[in-house]
Amino acid sequence: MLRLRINYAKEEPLRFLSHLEMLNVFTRALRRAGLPLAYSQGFNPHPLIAFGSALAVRVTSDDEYLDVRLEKEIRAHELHNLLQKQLPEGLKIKKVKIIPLQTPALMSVINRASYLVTTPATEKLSENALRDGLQNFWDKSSVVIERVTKKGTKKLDLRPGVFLLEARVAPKEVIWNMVVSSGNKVNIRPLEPVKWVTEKCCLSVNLELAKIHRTGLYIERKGRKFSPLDYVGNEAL
Amino acid sequence: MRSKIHKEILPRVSKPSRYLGTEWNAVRKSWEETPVKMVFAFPDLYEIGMSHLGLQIIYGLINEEEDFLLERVFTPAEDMELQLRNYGIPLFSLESYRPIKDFDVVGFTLQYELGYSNILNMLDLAYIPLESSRRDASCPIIMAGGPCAFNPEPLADFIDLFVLGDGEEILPEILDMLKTYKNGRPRLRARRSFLHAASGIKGVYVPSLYRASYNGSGFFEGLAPVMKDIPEKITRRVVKDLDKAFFPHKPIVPYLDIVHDRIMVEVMRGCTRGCRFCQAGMVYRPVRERSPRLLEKQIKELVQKTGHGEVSLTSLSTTDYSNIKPLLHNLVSNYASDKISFSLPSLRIDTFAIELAKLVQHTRKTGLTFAPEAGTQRMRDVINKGVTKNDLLEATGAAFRAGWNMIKLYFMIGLPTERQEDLDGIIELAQEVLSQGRNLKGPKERGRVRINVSISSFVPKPHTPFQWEPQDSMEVLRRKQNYLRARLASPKINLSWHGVQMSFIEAVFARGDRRLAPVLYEAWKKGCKLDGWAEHFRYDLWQQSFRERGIDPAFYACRRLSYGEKLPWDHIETGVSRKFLINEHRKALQEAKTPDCRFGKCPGCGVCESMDIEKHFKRGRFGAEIEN
Repeated sequence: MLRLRINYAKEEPLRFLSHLEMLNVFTRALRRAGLPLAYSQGFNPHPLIAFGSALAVRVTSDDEYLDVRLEKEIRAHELHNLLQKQLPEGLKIKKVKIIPLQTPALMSVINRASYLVTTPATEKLSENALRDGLQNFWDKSSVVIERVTKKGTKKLDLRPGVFLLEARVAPKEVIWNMVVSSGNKVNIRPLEPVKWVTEKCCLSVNLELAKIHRTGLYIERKGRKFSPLDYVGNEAL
Repeated sequence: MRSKIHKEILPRVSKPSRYLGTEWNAVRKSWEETPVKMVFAFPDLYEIGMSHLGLQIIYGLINEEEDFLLERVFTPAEDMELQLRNYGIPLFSLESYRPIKDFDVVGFTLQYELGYSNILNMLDLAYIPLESSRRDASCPIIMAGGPCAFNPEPLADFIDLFVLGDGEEILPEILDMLKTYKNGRPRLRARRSFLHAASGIKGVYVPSLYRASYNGSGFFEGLAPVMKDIPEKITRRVVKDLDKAFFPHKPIVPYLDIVHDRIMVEVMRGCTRGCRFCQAGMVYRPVRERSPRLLEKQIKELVQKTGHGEVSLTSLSTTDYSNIKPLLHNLVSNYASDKISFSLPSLRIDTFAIELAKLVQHTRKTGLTFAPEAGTQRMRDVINKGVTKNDLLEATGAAFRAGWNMIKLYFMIGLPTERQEDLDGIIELAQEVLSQGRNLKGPKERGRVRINVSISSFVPKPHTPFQWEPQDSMEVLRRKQNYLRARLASPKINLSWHGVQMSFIEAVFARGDRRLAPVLYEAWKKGCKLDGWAEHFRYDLWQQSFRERGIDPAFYACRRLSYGEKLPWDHIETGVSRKFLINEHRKALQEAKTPDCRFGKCPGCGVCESMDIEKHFKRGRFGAEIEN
């Protein structure tokens, strides 16, 4: 068995695909590529594919990860070429790396995400108001919001999960830069801090038409930052 | 247009991947360099339309021709329609995001009557006049085909040209003629003369070239051509040999989870069973099988080109396919290592079918579906469903023993001659299957046995032996449903229904004539659309529309027609003779069965002779080779 980690970008027009649709796209592309996929055991075998982090509909990304397991040996660049040919417009493989089988699952180690968010403005914006809103955010020790999920609303403190939050006013829009907690434990959605700040400083931006772009996914351990391509699990020891 | 839609509209709608048009194997051809441009319009949502094999066939066929291109459009969901109307953006094709109106031909497929309001709505969203008579050279030719085209009359005012029968045969001929008439210009100018000339192609019906007449008492009297050189009868087109017919070897692979998310391979066309209510079983005669060797080759190619993990062997009754068992054996063993699974759309009611199900279904979770259709032997003889209670219990018994816990049973109520005892028969049969399952299972599994009973209402369909029969009134159907509901109430039996109001509208349009056009228009104006979806269906608006237009819908749905009266679809020839239909109808009333022409002698429906074609069974060596 061979385990490969694929680093790819999800670009236009595929930002409209959901996580489940992405799983379908990769499963079918891997099959079309004729790769010797490894399957789960049981009555309903499915290919052993695992994503790093679910990407919401409407979000593009430069830095996504996917692990696949194959039954036979293959070179990383060979898989890169075979798979790229079978991917629809909007999915670009950046790097493929063979990783040790016992490497911890992407899901369990990725804990940081960086985003670039562009929110169209519905009226003229004040740079000062925006600065005050951001200052307000950093001054607080906790920023509790209500998150609506399928199961109901729950309270969530944004503050400990936001590590960087910058914004600047551009003509007709506000451009945001952020690093937030991502993954299994605390997962901050990029529009959550944006919404809090813009409401605080009464900036009217259109969140519905926001462009959200994930610029990076990585692993932070004891103050050190690792790319999922390099992290095999024993770094923190 | 594309960037505006992607920036401002798609972020606001649900399931936006319906509207991307960049699915794997979608074809984008040069607009400027292709002389004839057609858009395939499916009058329902993307996930329904993309599950339709006919779309994939026509899509591949037309796009392989150098001179033609074919794109797709579906009924937009309600949120999308709202955005299009707000922004004033015309309905657009998925591949090139061009307005539907820019195409030379818009081809609707008519799969069910409840899609008719969607056709009007789509034309309106496309800024194309709804009535054929109001269209000019700036409009595409509006075409329609598919099973409901066998009674085209309710849509006659809205459609320029109908195609009858197998589309692979006729579509290229029409588009070729259109190319000639366009003569290198960007648009077709001679709209009328093109339609006139096209009416000469076998299988084409141009409704504006015919006038319908009615007598003083409101009965349809006939349809006559308004010009001399127009054919009085229109005969459906037939693919004679399925092995030579085009097959879609690069079907589009949707992003979205659609209704049938798998490879569909057509193992045969037509059905020999001869159920007397079934329109498909009559209008797609005779049976034409595809050879197993070719099927294997096609499946191999489809698996490579799509990446799907499941293959469905489709047809009207796949278990009847001559070589089904050796074919399935081969497929299952050849594809085991690739983890490709196979499925059968429906199962014949016998133990052979259970053998097949065992072969393909590794889990026993999904349940098996059988369609006895009626509750008593007498009723099943009336509809010519050649199965006995014994057949059913043997099949379900084998299924329970093989590990299935859930059985789905399909029944129909309101069938001709139905009596109280036939309803009781449905109850008894369902209960008998339930107790059979409980008896056959050990104490651990006994509690898990479930029977799903699905009950639909009979809809008389044109070109069937039951075309003269009335539909029960909604009141009677409701009473029958209540009767069954009260007596089948059990935690182990799940009942599901087809709404009687929907079945009623379906029957009205199935047997309708041209006088329904104003009603359809009115209903659409009032907001009727997506009528096939219970959450959108507005019977109250339909009722108002009938009332305002002075049409009694029961005249169409609930009346017994006489053999002597002229029928609005008499000008459409399916190849099955009227004599056969009458004979079958009489035999039904006498509770007499007609043998399956696959096994018994020819029952004389007339299709092979009139179409100059033979039924094709692919028996012989293939089976023998594999059995060894």
